[in-house]
Amino acid sequence: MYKLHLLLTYLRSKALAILAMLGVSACVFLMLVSVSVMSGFLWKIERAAKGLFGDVVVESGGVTGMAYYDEFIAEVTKKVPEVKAGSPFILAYGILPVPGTDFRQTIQIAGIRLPQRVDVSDFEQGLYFEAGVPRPTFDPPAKLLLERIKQDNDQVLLIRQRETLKVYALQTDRDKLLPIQRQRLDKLLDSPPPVGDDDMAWLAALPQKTADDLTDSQMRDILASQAIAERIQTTFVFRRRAQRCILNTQKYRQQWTDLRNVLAQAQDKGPSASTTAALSQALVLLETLAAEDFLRTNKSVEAALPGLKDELKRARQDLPTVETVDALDRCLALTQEYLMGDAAHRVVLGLGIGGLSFRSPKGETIRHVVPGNKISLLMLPLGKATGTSMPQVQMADFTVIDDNHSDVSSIDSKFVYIPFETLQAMNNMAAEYDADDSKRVVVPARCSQIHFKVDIDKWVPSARLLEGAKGQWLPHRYSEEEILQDVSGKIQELWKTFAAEPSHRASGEVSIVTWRQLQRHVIGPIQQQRTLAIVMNSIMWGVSVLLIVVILYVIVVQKTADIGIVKAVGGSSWGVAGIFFGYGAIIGLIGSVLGSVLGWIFVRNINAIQDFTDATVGFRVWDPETFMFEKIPNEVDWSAAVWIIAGALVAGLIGAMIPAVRAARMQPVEALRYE
Amino acid sequence: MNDLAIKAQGLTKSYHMGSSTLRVLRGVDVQVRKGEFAVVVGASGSGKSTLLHLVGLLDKPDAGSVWLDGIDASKLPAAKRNRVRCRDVGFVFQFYHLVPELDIIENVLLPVKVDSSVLAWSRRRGPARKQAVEILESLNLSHRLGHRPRELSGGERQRVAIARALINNPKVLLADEPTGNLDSVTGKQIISVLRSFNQQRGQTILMVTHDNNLAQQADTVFRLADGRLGG
Repeated sequence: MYKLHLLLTYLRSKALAILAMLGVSACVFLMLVSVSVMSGFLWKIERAAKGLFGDVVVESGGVTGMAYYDEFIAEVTKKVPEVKAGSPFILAYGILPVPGTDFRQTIQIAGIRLPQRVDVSDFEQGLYFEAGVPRPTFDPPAKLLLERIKQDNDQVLLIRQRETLKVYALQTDRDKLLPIQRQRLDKLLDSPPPVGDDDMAWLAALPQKTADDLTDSQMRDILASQAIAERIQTTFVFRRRAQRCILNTQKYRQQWTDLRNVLAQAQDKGPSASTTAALSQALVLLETLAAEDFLRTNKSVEAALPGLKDELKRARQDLPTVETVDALDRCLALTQEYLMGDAAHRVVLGLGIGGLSFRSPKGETIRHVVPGNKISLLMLPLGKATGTSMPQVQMADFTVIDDNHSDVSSIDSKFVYIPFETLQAMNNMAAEYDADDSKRVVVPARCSQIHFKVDIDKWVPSARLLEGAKGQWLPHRYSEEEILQDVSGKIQELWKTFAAEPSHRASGEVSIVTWRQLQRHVIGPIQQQRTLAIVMNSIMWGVSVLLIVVILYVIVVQKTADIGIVKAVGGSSWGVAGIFFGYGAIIGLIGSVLGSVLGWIFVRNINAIQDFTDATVGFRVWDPETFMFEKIPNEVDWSAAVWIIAGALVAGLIGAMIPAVRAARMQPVEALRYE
Repeated sequence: MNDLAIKAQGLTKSYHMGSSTLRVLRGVDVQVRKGEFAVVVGASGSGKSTLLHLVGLLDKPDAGSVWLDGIDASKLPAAKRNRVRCRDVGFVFQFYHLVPELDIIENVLLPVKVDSSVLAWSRRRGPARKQAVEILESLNLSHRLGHRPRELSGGERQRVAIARALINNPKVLLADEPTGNLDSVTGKQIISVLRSFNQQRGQTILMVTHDNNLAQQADTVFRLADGRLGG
């Protein structure tokens, strides 16, 4: 009884005990927060990496790629029941000149098939302008794009207004304002945006403080907000161009196509009033087109226009001929070159490529380039062995139709996605035909990878796996990775048979891996960082053990006389040790519970806390300008929490061990002499 | 032999300090009858306290034996020695040795708690508390029950220590210079308290002191000099 009594008495009356508990709870708190955030970060990265490449990846051994991919996909989806879908993929390296600047970005060009891509990946979930479209394509409806660009414009304008208001709030000289003006100013600054144009003009006309009246930090804030507002302003140069591009495409493409069809019919049926009208319309269209800025400045178009005009005039007087239809085709081609281009020359940009967008300090993404803008891609085709000659650099223009974010910074800042067949041709991976027999394939078309989507619920263990599990006593619960590896094995087996068939001889060497194995270079460093965080925190754990040892030791020294008294009245050595053991255990328990609760509250509200510190003292740990996640992961890693709490308890016990043993070994006479 | 509460025979004890050895007791024999008030007198450093510690099983002799109420306590295992110390021996120290975090009643009840499991304590709590209050009342401390030791005078603290020593109705009460830290008036009061317990309850007491005047009140006086007992 005395052990419990003294234990509780010591706990109640000792500031040192509270200090030790706070020490332990601080360690538990820090460990829980850092491990949870790192785990959340890793989980997001893993999910994103998985979403990008499907579940199982068949990767070509060489740069020239693998052939007969469509046949193999069909074979796998037919014979491996777990595989839901497959899609070919090409990966090439290239350069992207940043529009409107002299900068260039080295990038990776991915050739994908849309909309089939969504069957194997979460590609559609990362799209911005086509968000919510279940099966996006490289040729989205112009109406949708225009609508989304307008929405984005509105959002971006609000950000600009917010930043401008910040400047007015800091810069306006309130002392020179009349009370009524001050009232209106406060009302405008407090009211949620948007603020009307009249009000903005009124704000701009207010007297401003001079640079001498502003502190350094106010000056910094003003300059930062002004810089954002100006950058947003420049994006509208691109945005207006993009909107016109889409509008023109809508206007001209349909009209040229309709006119061409009318004339093609007139060729067979002879001229009619509708033919003449169509030709007149075509001429008007050509005149309008010639007046467009972007065509006027182009010399080759300028040169082509008179010829086309003559042909249309001639056809109006005589008969539309094959030449007339051909002229209209050329008109369409000319238009397309300066409008959105054909569906084969569209690109989805990774959101995060330097120079194409930027992030505000609040983490909002502001795009310089929007659908309708054009970019050029340069690449060195490596898809075919070229003997002694050097491969020729390929360059093509693409119209942006969207951007995609996967939440993996290393992917989003480097990848652009173009149609599979386009990249195949650019990278010398397209099929080659016999010069004499255009149907005979000499070199089959190739791709770099095939991505397969696996339905885990349909998984049936392979014979190889069942054989391996025979000797085991306990039934093993297979992880997702183990299941995917088993499915990879099945695909591997199928590949062996497939590649051995005489008709598939040229299919090439492949390796078949799971998404995790493929992405180990992305996941690996994060795992290492998490391990590092755990190691660092374990050092802190060691410090907490030391803290408890020191504190308990001090308490034992302080309580030496008490130990003597307890022993003098019959207390046993182990009884005395028990007091200090219990003391350490309770410190560990209360400290870890307190730390866990605080850690849980902190992690759940980590974003709100950061917003608060940002608003009050301007301090942000997680800079959304740098990280691809706008929010800090805020889920507690409970599996880690169990270990952390157990660790804190063990820390308390280990910490108590040395002082407890010292107390137990103390002779009562020695202890009583201690004063 | 059966009327002896304490019998110590041939007790020797040395302390090693570096290379030198300090022989404190050189074969001491002490016999105290039940109900006797015996006093050991000696100069400072003569080994009085060491003798008391050996008799009270707080320390082990290099040679010799201690019988308490006819039982050879020197041969008992540690757990039984603890029990004997708890139930059969009461200690009063010069420096009181009260637990500062506990109040007076809790300090007095400490030996009962040491002797009780959590379950047993729930049974013993009421009677033990009643007894503690009675003892404290008899020592004129009934108004101090909830106080902490630091709030008490030296004499009061020593009376609390006496109450604690008596709570388990020990067979012997060992007092180590109980007045050494008190003024002469208070010291006399403490001695009269001990004496009254001896006379009224027949409590066997072995007290060590360097004060010859105090020794005059004892039934038996042992004089200790150079580690040996004189006449």
